[in-house]
Amino acid sequence: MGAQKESTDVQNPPRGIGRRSFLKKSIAAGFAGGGLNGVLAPFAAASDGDAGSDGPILLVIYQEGGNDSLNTVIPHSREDSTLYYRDRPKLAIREEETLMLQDGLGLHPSLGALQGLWDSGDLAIVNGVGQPSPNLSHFKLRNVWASSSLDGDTGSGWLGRYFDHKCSSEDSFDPFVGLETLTSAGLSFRTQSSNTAVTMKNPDLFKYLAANDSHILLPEIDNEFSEQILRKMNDLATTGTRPVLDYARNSIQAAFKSAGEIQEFLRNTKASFPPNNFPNSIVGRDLRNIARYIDTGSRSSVYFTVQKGYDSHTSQFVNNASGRPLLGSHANLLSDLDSAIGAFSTEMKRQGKWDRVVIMTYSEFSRRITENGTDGTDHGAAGSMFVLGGGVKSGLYGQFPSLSDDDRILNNSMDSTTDFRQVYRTILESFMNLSASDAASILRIDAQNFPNLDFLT
Amino acid sequence: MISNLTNFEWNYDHAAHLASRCIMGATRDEVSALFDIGRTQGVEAAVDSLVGRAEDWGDFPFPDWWDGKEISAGGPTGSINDSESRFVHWYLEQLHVANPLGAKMFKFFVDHVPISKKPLLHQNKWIYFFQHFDLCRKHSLGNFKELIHGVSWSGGMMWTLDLKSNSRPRLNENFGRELLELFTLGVNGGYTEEDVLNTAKAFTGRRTEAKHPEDHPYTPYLDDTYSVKFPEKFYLIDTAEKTILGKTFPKISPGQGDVSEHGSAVMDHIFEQPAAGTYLVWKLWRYFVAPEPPEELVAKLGNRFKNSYDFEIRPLLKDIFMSRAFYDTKNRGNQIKDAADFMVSCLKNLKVSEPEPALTWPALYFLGYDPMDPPSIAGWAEPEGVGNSWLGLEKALFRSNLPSLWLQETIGFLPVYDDLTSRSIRDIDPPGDFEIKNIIPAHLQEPENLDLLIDELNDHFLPFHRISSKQRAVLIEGYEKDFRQLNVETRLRELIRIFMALPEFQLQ
Repeated sequence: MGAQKESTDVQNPPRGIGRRSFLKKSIAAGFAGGGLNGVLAPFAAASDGDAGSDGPILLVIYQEGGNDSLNTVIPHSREDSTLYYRDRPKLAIREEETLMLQDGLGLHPSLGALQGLWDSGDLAIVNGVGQPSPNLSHFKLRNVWASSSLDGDTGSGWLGRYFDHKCSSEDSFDPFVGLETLTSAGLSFRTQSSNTAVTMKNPDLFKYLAANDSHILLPEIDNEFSEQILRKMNDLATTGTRPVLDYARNSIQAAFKSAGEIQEFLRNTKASFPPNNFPNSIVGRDLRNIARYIDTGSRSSVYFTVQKGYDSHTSQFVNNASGRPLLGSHANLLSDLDSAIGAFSTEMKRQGKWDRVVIMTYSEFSRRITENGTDGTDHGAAGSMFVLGGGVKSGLYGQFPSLSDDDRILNNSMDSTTDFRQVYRTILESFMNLSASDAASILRIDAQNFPNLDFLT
Repeated sequence: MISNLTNFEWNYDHAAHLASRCIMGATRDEVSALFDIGRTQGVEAAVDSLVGRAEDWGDFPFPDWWDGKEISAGGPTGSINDSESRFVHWYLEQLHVANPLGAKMFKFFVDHVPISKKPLLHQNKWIYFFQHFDLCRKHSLGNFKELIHGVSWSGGMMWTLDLKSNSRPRLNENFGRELLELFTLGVNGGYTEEDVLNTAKAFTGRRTEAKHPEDHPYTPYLDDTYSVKFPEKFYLIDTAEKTILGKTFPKISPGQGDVSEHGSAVMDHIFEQPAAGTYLVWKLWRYFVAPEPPEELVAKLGNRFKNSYDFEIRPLLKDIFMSRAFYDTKNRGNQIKDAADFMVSCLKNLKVSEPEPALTWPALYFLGYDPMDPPSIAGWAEPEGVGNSWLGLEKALFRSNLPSLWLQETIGFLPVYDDLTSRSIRDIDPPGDFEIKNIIPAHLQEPENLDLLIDELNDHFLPFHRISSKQRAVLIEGYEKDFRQLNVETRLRELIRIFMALPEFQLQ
């Protein structure tokens, strides 16, 4: 640190008022309608109706690898439940262990917090979700879900197109329109406009070093010259010649713009955020970070995170002494997810924002009805999704797929009864307040064929 | 016929494009050398200078701890994490200084058939990783079909895709599916779910074998020579007749010779499919050229690759780099460097060596590339044109900061993740082998030569791009005004840092 510390150069304001007004200026310059009204709040709301004030907050949790839906939402006493027990001699969750819901369905015993949210009327379960003529490839299906197109087009994602819609002009694109807690930018967030929302796993990393910056961790920024030069050079660059170059430039500019806000946020909130019962796992830490961002009035209306590890070809469970298939990798994943969602919902209620929140979970596919030979399950097709929040109409949506041998597809997979794009449409239309035609355009569907599922008030 | 670039057309921009795609972190000198070969001896000679260059993997032997013996005995290599850093360092050194196109293809295959450390929690991890990476480099400019045959016997892959536990009574589709979908034919390669099932059945019975050596009672996976064996156990094999991709393979009876031929025969049949040629060509085109390969050309090259070259890599690459389509202006400077491309670019542009293992690993990790831990069995992100996932916001900042490792001699931007390493990164010194005189001649360091200095830095770091006069003015103003309180050495280092943080430096 050093030489620059006492400088009063206007381009290098000292920490305090000058520095803050500088930060405000750079935020306002980047974001149209930036009404900060003299109060510095990191992530301050850009305008009414954004998440920072009173708008909707969508949290999408992607269960990567193909969640075993049949052991998540369990058909314990339905007409065809005998087939569940027949085809899963080792893996079936016993009826008495299942957390009962209704209509012969129940939850995995690891999902206690979700059962509580069901009881309080905050959980909708959409069953039989899939797509026509599914493929059983992780990678194809992952792109299908992210892009909302059956060919898995990697050009843009459904949430990225929502961002484009929300920030209708190039100049008004606000990186904080959405935030994904990933290390690599995902397809769901990919825009058509070569703009970039925030991709950030670790906020501590989210800064550009200043000259003379040689401290070990989180040095104070006391010389932003190089950053300012870089930003000016990028502002002056010719755009529109090469889309990839424009993307790289937008990405770097957006990173610089948002880094100041994030660092300010870290300084202001690190110590003050109340401890909560988030699990000390990756998804637990990600949801805790998101809760912290929301607490400070983040403008983001969409958050996206991934929980990895669901590709349970082997050792999906470990028998415990009594032979119950409750322990093992799948139970651990669900338990982790359940604790994280439970803590997040508690925190949102504490912040008084639960009515503005919708949490949606999905996985690229479900797994086979039949267990395989290595204490696991191979790739399957349709499965169940969870939608949670204060404004959710609790209940079961979508028909639960028949397990009968004749109704199975692709070597013992469940067939879909509900298209995944109906879930997306319902959220965009009934929660994000888009018109049916705008939602359909973003999702690339004909609205008539993908009716709203009406699980939101 | 495939239209090729002619000697008459060859120019510096062609050389720059070829170099930037075939040589990680291609420097100005390497571009000039390539241009001269093409100018004096023709395009084919220029391409041959890359494609025909001898392999030099022998220069990068396995370290003496590769068998895991010392680690299991708590020996001098210390913790497992430390060994992972050393492994990644061993790999990066090859990407940095080995035969450039071989290194580029080595990286391609490590991505094409990736193995994961996650299922390999025992000491055999090192044997499996070194053997698997050795297989990838051996065939980097070798034979694709032989590589995939080898992969089906690679201990690392057998663990990564559960092949070692796939058997007739305990069938597991994981390997069978990805063999078809990811390694050979592609998701649209014309196979059905029945083909997946039957391929999985054909690859039943392969095992990694473990013995209890008498002197190592607690290392159950190692035999006394630390070699790994793959016995095929007849009773675990699905011997029934099965039809795969239109061909029926007869029932196997005991005494019919080497049962390991069972899966191998199926593998040979998979490579009879047209998609086995076109899929790899499609993927290589995306890796070397552009995200949307021209269909007709892919079909032609795929046909040659399979039918004329019998899956030899070198002649295929030569065809790609000779083709006019490769040099199309819309493909130039239009690819975002992946993590390793970027890392090697830093090393070569700054004329420094790889940082010590304890820094190499986290640096690559935060660039998004842990070579022992692929995000999935599909490997790392491929070039996808606009929206490339190598350059999300956190990564963009990290890339802007990475040159500080050498230029500011700081490691402050490399935080410790508690799931990454148990060793305190605070005890590690930054590299310290950067010297300004290696980049900037002494006379250009004088204030009156600022214009020339900026030209020099522009050409050195962005050989395919020239900054605009307005950008230059910003740089000059900043240098003369904002940097005035910094000493000359720091000013020069800051200038370099700025050039390396420009979006143009992210592209190749």
